[in-house]
Amino acid sequence: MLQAIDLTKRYEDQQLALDALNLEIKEGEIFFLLGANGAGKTTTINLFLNFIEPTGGRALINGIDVTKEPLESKKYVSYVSENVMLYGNFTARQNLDFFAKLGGKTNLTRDDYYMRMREVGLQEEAFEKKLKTFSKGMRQKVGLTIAIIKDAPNILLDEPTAGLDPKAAAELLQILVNLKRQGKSILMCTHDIFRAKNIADRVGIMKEGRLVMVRTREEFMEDDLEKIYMNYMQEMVIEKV
Amino acid sequence: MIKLFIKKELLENIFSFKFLIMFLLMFFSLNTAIFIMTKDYKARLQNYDILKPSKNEAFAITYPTPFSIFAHGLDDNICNLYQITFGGQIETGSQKQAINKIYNFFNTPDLLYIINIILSFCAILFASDLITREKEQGTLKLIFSNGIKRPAFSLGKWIGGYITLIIPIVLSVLFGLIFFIILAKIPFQFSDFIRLLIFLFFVLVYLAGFFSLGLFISIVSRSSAFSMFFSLIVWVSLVFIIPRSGNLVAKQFINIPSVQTIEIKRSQIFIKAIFEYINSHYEKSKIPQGIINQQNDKIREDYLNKLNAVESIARKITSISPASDLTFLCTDLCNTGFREEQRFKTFVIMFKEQVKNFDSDSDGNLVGDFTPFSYARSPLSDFFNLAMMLHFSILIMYILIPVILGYYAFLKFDVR
Repeated sequence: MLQAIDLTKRYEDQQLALDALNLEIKEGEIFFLLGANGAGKTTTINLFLNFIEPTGGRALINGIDVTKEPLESKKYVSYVSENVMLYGNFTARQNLDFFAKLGGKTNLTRDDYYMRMREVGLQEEAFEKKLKTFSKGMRQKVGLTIAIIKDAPNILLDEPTAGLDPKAAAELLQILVNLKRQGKSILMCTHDIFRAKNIADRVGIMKEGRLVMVRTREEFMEDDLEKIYMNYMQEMVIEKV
Repeated sequence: MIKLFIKKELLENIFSFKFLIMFLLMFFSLNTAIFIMTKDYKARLQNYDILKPSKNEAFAITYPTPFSIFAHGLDDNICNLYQITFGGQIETGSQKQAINKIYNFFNTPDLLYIINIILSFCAILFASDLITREKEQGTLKLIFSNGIKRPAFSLGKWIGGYITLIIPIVLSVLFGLIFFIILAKIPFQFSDFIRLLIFLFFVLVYLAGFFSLGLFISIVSRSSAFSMFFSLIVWVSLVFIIPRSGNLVAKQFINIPSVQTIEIKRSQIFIKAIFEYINSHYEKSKIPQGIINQQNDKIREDYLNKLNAVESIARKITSISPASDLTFLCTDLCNTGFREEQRFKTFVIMFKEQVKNFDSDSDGNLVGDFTPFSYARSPLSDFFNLAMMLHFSILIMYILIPVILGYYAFLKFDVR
């Protein structure tokens, strides 16, 4: 379970990146955080991963305060970034092996890695190929496999479908649905409102560091999510102009 | 966890294009240096066999050391032929030496030069993007999304990166030793190999310093491009600017006469003596050899005192640079440095004292029944002294300071 309680981040230049965020993502739930660039989506993820310190409030992973116990809290979370680069001179399996061991999975065999890679739809011939020869979609799949192998109860994804073709993006989202069925709490930051509509249990719209709206699946299917989102975006553009 | 990072670092680097280029560069430069200097040593050894003094010759010369292959230093000066002539003058017979004059224009391409310049450059540049690259490719975020302690990562990075750096060096030097030293039958004794091991140890410490500096720069830089640029500036300052500015700065404090001025003074003393001899109607007893000796000694002593003072100041200034410290350490270790040159000159002066009162022939050469000059290079035990400790300590500081600063900087490092 992921929880943000009055989570606030103000940078040294006094810019308010996140303003008293309150959020709870339960087991087996996919939460999509939507918003324009600079709305505070990535800041939220960075705070959950303790890459930056909050100026107020708390971020909890499975009830553990990430600021007070960063090493312990990270045992319960996996992370997939926007642009998974990994180590280009390593094969897909070598990358998995390294990051699995970092995540505490030290007893996995070559077959275990192959099985996981098959699950995310990677082709057999890619398993022992160097990652620098991979397309972005393939690299994202390896990134997701790393998150799956760690088998953490919570998964944070920062724009994982950015730059992917529709097929690769759809495959990636299907994997998320499978993970949800296994009881994982998933927080995904994205601009991709259409994907959100397809698989999210709840969506939140962020604007200038504030979570301005949260809708459940039933609500946003009824209210036309695209319209709501576009209204917020337009308001922001008008304010800026 | 540290082992995992070391293994990752080794695997990632060893199979990279950067490593291949570095390996080839080190292999060819180190082995070319050993090959050239081995040939040079053999030529100088042959030269010594021709020039070495026989009985009744007032010549002082010593054999070239095989260690000049590794650190040539002042070995040309030490191996010069010195002739004691009338009036107790010590003259160098440079025209009789087979010294490769091209080295006067460029630096002698010995192993120490390659290490000082090329290997230090490889070390700092190799380390300069180790952290920034991880940040730019996003792996740092992924690593620290796990419960990893930062010291474990930075220590693993240091050890793994450093091992990667020294693998090509150790392999290249071993290859060079086997093919050029052992097969070329260079007269190395067992004790010499101990000296060689100490030499390699100093080289590894020196390169660890540049590697640590590079890694520290990588931690405090925002991008790989800036890190490489900054590393380049630091490297140029430490390897070129500081070692070369030491002598210039020292000469601002002490006014040292030129060699020409000294020669003019010596000629004046000699001419004055000849006039006195002529005025005394060629009385042999009137030749004031004692006075000439005394005055020549005074000029030499005065010059040497000033030269030593300049050298001492220059040495202190240049010691700021690890390249200078390595040069001083290795040349002293290989008996081709300042210490050995001073010792050799003391032996020459002692020899001069022994023979200066003998008669000279019409060419000014001393004739008489005296024991030929002989000289043995310093034993290894002489190397371990306070000056050596000072230079070694500075090399260690170049590891410790960046490692400690880098450790604390990385604790606050923004991995995003």
